[in-house]
Amino acid sequence: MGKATIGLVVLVVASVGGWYLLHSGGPAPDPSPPGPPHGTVWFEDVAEAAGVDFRHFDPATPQHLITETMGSGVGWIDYDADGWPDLFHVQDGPLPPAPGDPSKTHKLYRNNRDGTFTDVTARVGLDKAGFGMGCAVGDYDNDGFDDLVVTYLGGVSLFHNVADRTAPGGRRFKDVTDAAKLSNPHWGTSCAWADLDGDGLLDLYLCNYVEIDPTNPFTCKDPAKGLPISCNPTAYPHVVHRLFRNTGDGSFTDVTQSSGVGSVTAEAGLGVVILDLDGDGKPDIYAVNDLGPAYLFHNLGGMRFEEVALPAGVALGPGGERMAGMGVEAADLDGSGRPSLFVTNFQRLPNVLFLNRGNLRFDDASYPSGLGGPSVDRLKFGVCALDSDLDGNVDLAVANGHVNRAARQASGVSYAQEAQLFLGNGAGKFRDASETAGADFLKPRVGRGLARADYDHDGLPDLVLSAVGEPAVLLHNRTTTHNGWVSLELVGDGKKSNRNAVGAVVRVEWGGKSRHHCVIGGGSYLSANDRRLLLGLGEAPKLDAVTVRWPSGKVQVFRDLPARTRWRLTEGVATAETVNLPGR
Amino acid sequence: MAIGPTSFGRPGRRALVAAVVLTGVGGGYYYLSRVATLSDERRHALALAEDGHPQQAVPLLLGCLIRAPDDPDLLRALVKGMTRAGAQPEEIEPYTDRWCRAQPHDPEPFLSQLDVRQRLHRPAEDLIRPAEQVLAIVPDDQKTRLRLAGLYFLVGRYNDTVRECNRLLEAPPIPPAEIRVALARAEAARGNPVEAGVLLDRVLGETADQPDALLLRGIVYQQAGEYPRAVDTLRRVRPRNTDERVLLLHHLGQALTRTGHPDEAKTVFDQLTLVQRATYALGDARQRPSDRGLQLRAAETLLAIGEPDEARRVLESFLNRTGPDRAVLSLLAECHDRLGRPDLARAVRTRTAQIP
Repeated sequence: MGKATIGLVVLVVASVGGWYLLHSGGPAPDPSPPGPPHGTVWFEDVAEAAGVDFRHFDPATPQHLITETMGSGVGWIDYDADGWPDLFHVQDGPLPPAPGDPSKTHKLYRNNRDGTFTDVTARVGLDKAGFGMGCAVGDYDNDGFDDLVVTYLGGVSLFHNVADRTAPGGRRFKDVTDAAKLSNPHWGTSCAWADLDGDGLLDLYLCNYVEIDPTNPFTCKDPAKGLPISCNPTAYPHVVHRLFRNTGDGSFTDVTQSSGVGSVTAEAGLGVVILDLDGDGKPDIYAVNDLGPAYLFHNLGGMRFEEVALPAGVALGPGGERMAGMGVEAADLDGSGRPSLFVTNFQRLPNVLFLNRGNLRFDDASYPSGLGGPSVDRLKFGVCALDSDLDGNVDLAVANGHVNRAARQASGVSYAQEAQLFLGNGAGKFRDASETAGADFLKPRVGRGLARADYDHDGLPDLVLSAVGEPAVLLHNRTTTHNGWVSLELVGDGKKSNRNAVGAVVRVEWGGKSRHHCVIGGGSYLSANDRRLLLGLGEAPKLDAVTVRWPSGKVQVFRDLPARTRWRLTEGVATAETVNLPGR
Repeated sequence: MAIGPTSFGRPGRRALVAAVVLTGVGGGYYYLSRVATLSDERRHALALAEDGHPQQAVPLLLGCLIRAPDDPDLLRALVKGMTRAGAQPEEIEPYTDRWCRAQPHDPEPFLSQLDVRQRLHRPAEDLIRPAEQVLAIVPDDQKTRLRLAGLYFLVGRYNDTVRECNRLLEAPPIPPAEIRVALARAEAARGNPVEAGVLLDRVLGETADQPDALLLRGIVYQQAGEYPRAVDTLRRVRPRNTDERVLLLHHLGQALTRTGHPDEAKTVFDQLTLVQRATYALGDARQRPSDRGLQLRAAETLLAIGEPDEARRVLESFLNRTGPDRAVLSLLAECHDRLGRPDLARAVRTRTAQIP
């Protein structure tokens, strides 16, 4: 080959290369996902890498039955009390149930303490099939180990956490439903544990949705378009929600009627929170209903309740419209020192924020807060309050997804929808930060359950989301921030206060600021949060003071708790105890 | 043997030239006549559409669009024709979208897109885009600006709502009262009850019983914690439809509660519950038209809130589909009684008695 030829070849190659570079926009992009810019709240789904392989069973049929639309919940439970939250997924399963198929049972994943999990479902006795809905975590017998209640289409199961040296973590679950005299032959949904009569024992509130006959499907059509749609819950018969009193001997008494909970018009219940809303020391019950007025059961004492949602201003959404109340959360969102209520709602209706004005009076602040407008085009379900960037202000995460698979044709929005993250300013105003919170907040899913925990002890709150027909989504919080945090685990005395300290009210003070937090029963949609309080401190090096009002009424003050530490506060013990658990 | 032009003799060359010429002429003729035909078809289709014959025009327009998919005149005529012919909005939507692309500097296709999307109940964000485009082309289209302000309001963009309302106030012809009420609504929504109140007082100062302003004034008083004034104002409101009735009862009940009138508040809340129960019962009945129980429930709840005519419609519609039914006819007779038509009630009862 002559020099001229070589020169020509080089010229051609260079030209082609130059052309390629010019037209391809430069070198190939980095295929790895972009990391979080410093200070930006950032979540990333790590379920697969963490070994969480749960996939929700989608019970879809061409008839668009109401049972297909509800999804199932998810919960954090530290079942072996090692300080690391384990993960429980409720499975829908087919109708009739398919026992023996491990892909269609609930799943329990034990925390390996390194950011990964191991499926221990069968070895701890939770390989149960059924049309599961929601779950609640609570130590109902005050033995120091969390028990689990699961609701079903057609029932409820109570799983007692018992010792078993052969099981992972030395614990397994025993179904004690019958022995505990718990029965709910209805479509149970969200449920919540709380000590409602002040006897130191957790009682159980259980929402019921609608009455259906699985053998005789009930179908509806969009009257304008003739498309099959899921019927409104208002078209079905309803039964009242249930309240079970813990007798202390391992059994429960159904006090639905005697308590007043059963004396209201039955509505299609989906979400519940239990906490003291009027500061009288007794936990109240706020339950949201799908297209029915919500209930606010004011605790009168002695296991008696009065329903006051309409006069309190929390029965209906903005403008008096009925809410399709799916999920519910309670937290001090405006810095008032009182817990506000937040309700997720149907498409074309906003998320609803009720600011607590005291004395059981609430004002709707859905739109002025910035939470309403950006949510109107979504159908909202699970919700968690969390301080995602540890700035000391509570944020809200919401799981979204339509109930109608033909939502695009029927309503102009997609069936799968992006979750949302609203960052709070501590004074009742929020901004939608979903677009910058990582790719997983931009990925459409048919979101339903949502629950919060710092599962890897890195000091940042993480989330787990359940979605219809999809794998579990474990949203690891990868926010890079210099903000500090403390984790508070409250332990009641197990006598006058329940050990879980559900109902405790905590006032924290740092750097001239103060915030109120509550250990609440229930919350979100069909799901269970980790009970520990993970509090952002901004740049403060320590908490100056923590004042705890225990469920028993006793008040204790703990002072000077350094940041970046997990603390255990035990009722009656004067000093806070550090919990030495290595984080990632 | 070489084969080439040189192999043709003179007569052969003439024949070739003639063939080429003839083919050219023939092709040209065919082309021109085809163009003329197509042009005629197009003209005919457009004329039919223009003359108000959408049923005939639409298939022809669709045929013409296969050959000229981006012809803006055809797209315009098709969208208008389909709308007049009663086509479903989802059928029209692809053509409005195409029309917008074909005529991006004309407001008309974007207005059509806005209407179609509204009929399709598309999310407000999807309606905002065409509305903004219309205003980018025709900034003084005040009607669309008012619509856009409303859309911004729906998605919680209150600052944008306020900006658009202020622009509207600078440039009539929309009555300023209407704009001031919209502006007040946005101010109230973004947590400024004082500003909202000033705007509403101005409207009510001109027309004391302006219904939108009066209702909103009561709500704003309540938002500002002025409950006695809220009660006084809301008591003056006469709702014009169910939505207003719900809004009124909800806020009046709250204001009465907070002024220490729990019994009166309870009466108001009971009314509110009945109205909402009837609304949902009617919706359920429509979703399951053959469900006798739901039709009866809808009619009963409608009667309970004083809507016997609506109840009558529900029952008659069910009877037309299913034939006589004792319980349904009995309730229908009650509707007629409530509507002041004892003659019809009697006839229905006679019919009921004849059911074996």
